[in-house]
Amino acid sequence: MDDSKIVELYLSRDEAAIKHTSEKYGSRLRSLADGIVNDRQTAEECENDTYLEAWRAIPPHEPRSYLYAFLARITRHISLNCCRNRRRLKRSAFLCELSAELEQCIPAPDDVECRIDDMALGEAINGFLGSLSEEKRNLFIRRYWYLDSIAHISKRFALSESKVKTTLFRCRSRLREYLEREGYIL
Amino acid sequence: MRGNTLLDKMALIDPAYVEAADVTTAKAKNGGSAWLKWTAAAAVLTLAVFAGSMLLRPNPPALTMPEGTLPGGITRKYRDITITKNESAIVWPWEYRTISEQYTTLVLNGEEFHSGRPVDASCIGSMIGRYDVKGFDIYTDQEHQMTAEVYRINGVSERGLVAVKLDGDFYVFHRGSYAPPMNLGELLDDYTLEQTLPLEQFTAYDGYEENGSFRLTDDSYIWEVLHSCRNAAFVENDSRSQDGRSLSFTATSDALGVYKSVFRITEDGYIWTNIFDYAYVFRIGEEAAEQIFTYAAENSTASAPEAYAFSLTGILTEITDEYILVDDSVLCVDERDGIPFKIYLDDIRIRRHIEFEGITVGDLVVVSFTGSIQEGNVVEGAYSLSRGYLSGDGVSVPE
Repeated sequence: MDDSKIVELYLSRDEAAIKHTSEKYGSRLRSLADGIVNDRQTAEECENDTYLEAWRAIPPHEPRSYLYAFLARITRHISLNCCRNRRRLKRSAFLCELSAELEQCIPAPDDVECRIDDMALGEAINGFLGSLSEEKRNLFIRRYWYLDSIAHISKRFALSESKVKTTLFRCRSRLREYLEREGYIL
Repeated sequence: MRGNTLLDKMALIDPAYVEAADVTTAKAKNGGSAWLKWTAAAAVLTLAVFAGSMLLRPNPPALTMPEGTLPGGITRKYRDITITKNESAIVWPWEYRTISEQYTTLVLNGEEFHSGRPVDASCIGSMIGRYDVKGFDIYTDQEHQMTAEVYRINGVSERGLVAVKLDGDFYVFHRGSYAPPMNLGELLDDYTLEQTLPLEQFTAYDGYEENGSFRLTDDSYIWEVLHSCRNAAFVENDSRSQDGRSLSFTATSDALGVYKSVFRITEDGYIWTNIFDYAYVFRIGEEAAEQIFTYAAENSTASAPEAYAFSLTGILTEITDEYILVDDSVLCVDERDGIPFKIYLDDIRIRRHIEFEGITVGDLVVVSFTGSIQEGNVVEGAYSLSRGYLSGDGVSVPE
């Protein structure tokens, strides 16, 4: 079913919306969650929680033209929270590693809350990503949006692990430079 | 802001970029997910890690194996502990890399070659010439370059593989670009596989289910059959179903610099292999496959599964200039049964974890090794040391 028709079902509070969402995007969302939580059962829970959250969020949102991205963002958020709240998943070390990597991008990391709003930060991140080549951008997003392991990325893009690590290292350095140059204070 | 907040804020990335990153893949090295499943499932690639003790797979979950025997015949009785070891992603500074990790790139006749495993001097043929090899240190943003002798490998076409002499030892450098052979005959000719790739140990599968490991007495008939299929076409699409029976041979070759990769023959008439890094698939037909299956059934004996590597887990109790001691008491059913194992630091691949990564006395560590345990509980062939974390009934080694 077309995305806009699925969104219409949500807007009209028709529970068939969830069935069609599951049929069309269930496996991708589950796969996304599994990549983050590394546990099949928890991934299924994250998928189901995504449908519930989508049911709550549409309306007011009407993601007719970006339904998958809308759902995936919810799944990512729920999965990340699962990793942080469920110690048995043993994903804290992985999240620490990713956080430490991203901290290298922050010109002056501190414990103060984010000093710019999400809109400005989104502009900054997307402005930076727009300056990258397609391959570098995809590597960066696979690592820090999809939270893929280095090994997974190297297989997906047929690159050596050292090439992936080197590219990500340079991307992080460039993001830091970009944020400094553009005057963003995080 | 700290890194964990920025990780959350990555949700602000433009949905179009996110979607693009989800649908984009390269021309798949090692093929699609189906192939990766096979490499994970094949017994030869099962990173069978005892001492701790479990089977480590490229993708956990790890399996518990509460007791067993370490290579060298040392029996251990461990608590029912699951050890999950993820793949490491450390980029080492230049001085902590092995020579083949330092100089990774060679350009030969316009083609880029990349460094791989050591190759024995007995496999080396005539010299091709002296060429520059290069490496890059991301810590200093500096490129390194040196001139090295480049050699042919006996029986192997220099289009795909060459040997480079670095610091007195030879290393395989394999062609980086994707240039699959037209057919099986071309592959057999380019690498003289019947001489360079012994097919000795295999695991029988039905779908993903293992049906035992076996040792073949003589592989010459299999090569005969494969030579009779010289026109078997290269198959572009390697993401096929894994239904049906198959034989998965351990592919280890000194000449090709291949260590425990996969050479698989399927009941429905395909050869699959990842020995050249990329997934190569050839259609040999069901009849040829059946001939190989029949021969293998009649000329093999049951054997133990062949481990990809072993591991040893324990507390690092001593560091000297020459060695470290790892005591496995923490895993033993009876802690008094613990043994201090000795791992020498003459290999940079171990020493760098101590000197650079900062692993220290008191840490729980997992040692990966391919050799045996010798007199004095000396672990031979150790190639990696990872810091682990003990929690409840499990040990995890983070990425």
